[in-house]
Amino acid sequence: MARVALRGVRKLYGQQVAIESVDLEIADGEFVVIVGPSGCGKSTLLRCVAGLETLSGGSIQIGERDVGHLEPGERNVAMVFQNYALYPHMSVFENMSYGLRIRRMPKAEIAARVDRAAQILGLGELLGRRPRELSGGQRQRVAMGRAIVRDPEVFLFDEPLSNLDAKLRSQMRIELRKLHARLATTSLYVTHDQVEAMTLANRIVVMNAGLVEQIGTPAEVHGQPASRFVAGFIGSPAMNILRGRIDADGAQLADGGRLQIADPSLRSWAGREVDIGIRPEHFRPGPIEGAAISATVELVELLGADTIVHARRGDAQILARLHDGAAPALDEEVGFTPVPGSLHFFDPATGRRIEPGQSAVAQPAASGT
Amino acid sequence: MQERVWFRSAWLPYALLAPQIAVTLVFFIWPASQALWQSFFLEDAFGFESRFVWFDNFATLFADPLYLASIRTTIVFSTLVTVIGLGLALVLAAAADAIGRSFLFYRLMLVLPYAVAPAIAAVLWLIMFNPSIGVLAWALHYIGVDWNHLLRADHAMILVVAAAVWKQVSYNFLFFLAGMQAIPQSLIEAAAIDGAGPVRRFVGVVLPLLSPTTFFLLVVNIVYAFFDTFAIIDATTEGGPGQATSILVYKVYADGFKGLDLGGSAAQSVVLMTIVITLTVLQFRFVERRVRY
Amino acid sequence: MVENRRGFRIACHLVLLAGVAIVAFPVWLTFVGATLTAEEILAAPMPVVPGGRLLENMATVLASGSGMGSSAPVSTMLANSLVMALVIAIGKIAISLLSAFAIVYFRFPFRTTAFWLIFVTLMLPVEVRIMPTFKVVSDLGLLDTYAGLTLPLIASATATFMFRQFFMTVPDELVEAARMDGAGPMRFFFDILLPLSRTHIAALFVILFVYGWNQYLWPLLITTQEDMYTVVIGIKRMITGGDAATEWHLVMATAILALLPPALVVLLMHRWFVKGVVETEK
Repeated sequence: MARVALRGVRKLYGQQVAIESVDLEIADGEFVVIVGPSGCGKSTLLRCVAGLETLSGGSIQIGERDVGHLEPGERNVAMVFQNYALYPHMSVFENMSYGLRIRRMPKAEIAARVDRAAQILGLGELLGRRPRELSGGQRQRVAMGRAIVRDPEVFLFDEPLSNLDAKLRSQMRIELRKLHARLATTSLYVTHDQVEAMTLANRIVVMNAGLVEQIGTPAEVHGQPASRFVAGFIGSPAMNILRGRIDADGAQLADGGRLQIADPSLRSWAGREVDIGIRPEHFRPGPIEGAAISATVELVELLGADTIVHARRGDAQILARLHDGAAPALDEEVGFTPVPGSLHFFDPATGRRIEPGQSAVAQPAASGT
Repeated sequence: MQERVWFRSAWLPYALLAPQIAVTLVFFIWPASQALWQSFFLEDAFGFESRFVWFDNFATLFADPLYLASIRTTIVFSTLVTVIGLGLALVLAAAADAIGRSFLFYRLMLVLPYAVAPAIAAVLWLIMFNPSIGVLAWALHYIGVDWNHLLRADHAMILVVAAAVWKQVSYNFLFFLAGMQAIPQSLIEAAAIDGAGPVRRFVGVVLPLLSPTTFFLLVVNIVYAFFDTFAIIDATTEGGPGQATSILVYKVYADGFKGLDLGGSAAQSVVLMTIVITLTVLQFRFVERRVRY
Repeated sequence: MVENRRGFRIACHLVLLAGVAIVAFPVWLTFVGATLTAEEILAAPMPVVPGGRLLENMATVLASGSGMGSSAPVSTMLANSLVMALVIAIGKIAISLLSAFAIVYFRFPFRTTAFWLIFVTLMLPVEVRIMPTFKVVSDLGLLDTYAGLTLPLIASATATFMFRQFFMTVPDELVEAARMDGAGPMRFFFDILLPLSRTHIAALFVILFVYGWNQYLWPLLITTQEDMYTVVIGIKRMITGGDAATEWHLVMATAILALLPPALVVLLMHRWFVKGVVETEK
C-alpha cells in the first residue's frame, strides 16, 4: 500500500505521441479510475506504471521509490488483465501462486495466501481446475486472486470487465467495491466505460488524445466538467452542447431560442460566442411560449423508468431525459427549458470550462487536482 | 498501438542463437560458398594447382552431352514422380474424404511409407523387380514382358519412379486430405443443392479450392524428386544402366566422389543450388500469398 | 459426403483398399522373404506366404550381418541408426526452440540477419553441398564419428520456423503476466513456453526421428568403417553387384528390422505426427 506519483509522464512510439504529459498524485489506499475513449492513452499509462512500457519522459514513484527503470517484477505491483492472461497449462492454484513461487516463498505461506484469496473471491472449489474449465467470470476472479496473493503496493486493472456480459459486469463492479473496501490497496483502474468509472472511483482521471482533461471525484467530474470533452464523455446520454452569443441578460442561441442567464459574471463575455452545456436530465419540456428553445420531436425512447426524447431544430439536436412518463408525441413541436442553474459554459476556442467570475481574456483553467 | 512484447537483455538472445548460427555457418554457409568458389576453378588431378577459369566449368558442363542427358533424365523423372504421385494421392484423398470418419484405418496404413527410408523403399521395390527372384518380374515374364532393369533403361526408370512415388504418396495424401477437410461443408452442400453430382462437385468446387495445396505440393514434390531421391537411385540402379537414371543430384555425387572432378562437381552443385533457391522462393512467394485468405 | 449412395461408398472403400494394398504389398513381400531360407527365395517365383524362419534369419543378421558384402552385425548398425536418429531429433528440437525463442521474444541488432541466415539453410539441402561439407567435416576430424554423422544435420530451419510460428500465437498477455509475476526470460521459457509447446515438440519429434533414421547420403559419405554404418546404408552394402551372391533372405530380414523403429514411432504417435507434418509446412 503506497502513494503513487506520476510526474510529467510522456510516451512516444517512434514519432507518434501516445501520452503527451501526465501529472497525477494517487493517495495511499485510493481507487483511481482512468477513463477515456479508445486510443486516448489510458492503457499505455497503466502499462507505464506496470513497467511493461518504458517512459519517454517524466518519472513514476511508488511509495518512496522511483520505479521508472525497474522491471515489472521488481515494482511490487500486480496487474489484472483484460483477457485474464491465465497460464493455460497450470491449475488455478498454480496460476495464483506462480509469482510467489518465483520469489521462493515458503510453501506453507504460499498455501495460506492462496487460501485466503480463494476465500475472499469464492474460488475454494476451483483450485484444482484448469482455466479452460472455467467460465469467464471465474477466470476473472482467478486473475484477481493472482493479484491479491502478491499483496502488492498497487493494484493495476486493465479493463478487466470488458469481456464479461452486462449482467456479470454489474455484479463484478459490486464485488470490486467490496474488495477494495476490504483490502484498501491503492488501485489504478482503466476503463472506457464511464459507468464503471463513476461507480468505482474515489477519483476519476479523464484522458483524451494523450492528455489529461480533468482529475476529480465522480461528483466533480459530472457536476463541473472541466472541458467540453469531459462534459460530453461523462453522463449518458451525452450532454447537449449549444452554441450561443452572450448579450445583456442571457444568450442568443444559433437557431433562435434564447436562454436566460442569471449569473452576472458572464457579462464580460458579452458579444462573444460560447458553448453552452445542458444535461438531458436538466431539460424540462413544456409549451412553446416562454420556453428557451423549441424543437420538433424526432424519436422517443421509452426505457421504463426514463424516457429519452430526441428533438431537432434546424441543425441542432436536443436530447432530453424525462422521469415522469409524460412523453411528447412524434413530430410535435415542444418547448425545452433548462432548470435554472444547470448551465455549463465552455470557451469555444479552447474547449475549457468558463468558471463563474472568469474574465473573457483567454485563461487556461487549471484542471482540478 | 501496442508493440510486440519482448524481454530486455543484452547478451541472452545471442547465446540462445549461438548453436544454430554456429552450425549454420560451419556446415551450411561455409561449404556452400566453397562450392561457389570452387566452381570457378580448375584443379588438376593431384590438387596442386588451381586456375581461375571464370565460367569455363559451367560452359563445359552445359556442353557435356552427359550432363545434358542428366538434365533430361531428371526432368523426365521428376515429371513422372510428381504427376503420378499427386494424381494417386488426390484420388486416395478424395475417397478418404468421401467416406468421412471411418478413414482412420486407411490413414494409418497409407501413412506408413513416410516412415520407410527412401533407401529401404528402393530395396523393397528392387526385390520385387529383381529379374531372378522378384515376384513382379516373374509376373511380367509370365505375361511376356522381358523385364530387366539392369539392362534396359526404360525399365530402370520405371523401377525408380515406382519406388519414389510409393514413398511420396503418403505425404501428398496427408496434405490433400487436410486441404479437403478444410473446405467448408456448406460449400459442398450448396453445390449439391444446385444439382451438381459428386464428380462435378469435385472438379468445380473442391479442386479449385485445393489449388494452394496443390501448388504447394507441386513444388515440394519437384524438390523431392530432385534431391531426396538420391538414396533411391543409389540403392537400386546406381545411375545405370549406363547413365540412364543418373539424375542431377546423383551425378554430383558420382562425379565428385567417384570421379574426383571437383570443379565440375562444384559447378553442378551451384546449378542445383540455383534451382533449389528458385523453387523455394517461388514457393514462399506464391503459396504464402494465396494461403492467406 | 452429401449423397449416401451405397455404391459410391463401396467404390471409395475399394479405392482405398487398393491404395493400402499397393502400399502394403512391398512390405509384405519383404516380410515374407525374411521368413524364408535362401533356397526358397531363389526358387522363382518367390512365395507370397510366410515361411517359418523369421526368427533365425533375424538372429543371424543381428549377430553377424550378411556374410557377403557386409559383415557388420545388424545390431551394431541398428544402434548407430538409433543414436543418429535420437541425437538429430532431440538436438534439432532443442536448438530450434532456443533460436525461435530468441527471434520472437527479443529485439537486438542483427536479429533480421540471423533470421535470414537461418532461412537460407532451407534452400541448401545436403545434396547440393556434399563435397565441401565433406571436406569441412573431414578437416575437423569428424569422419566416422557420431558427431560427424549428426552435427551437420542438426541445424534445421523448418523446426525453427515452426516454433516461431507457434510462439507468435502465444498471447502477449501471458508474457506480460509472467513479467508482472517476476519471471525473467529463461524462467518464462521453461515454466510457460515449453509446456505450451508440448504437442508441437511431440509432432516434430516424430518427423525428425524418421528424418534422422532415414538419412542415406550423408552417412554414406561420412562413414568408412563398417562398425559406424547405419542400418539404412548397411542394406545397400548387402546387395552386391552380382545377385547370385546376395543373401536375399538376410537382406529382407534387415530391411524389416530397418523399417520397424520409424514405423513404430509414426504409428504410436500418429496423431501428433499428422498434425506436425501439416503444420511444419505452413
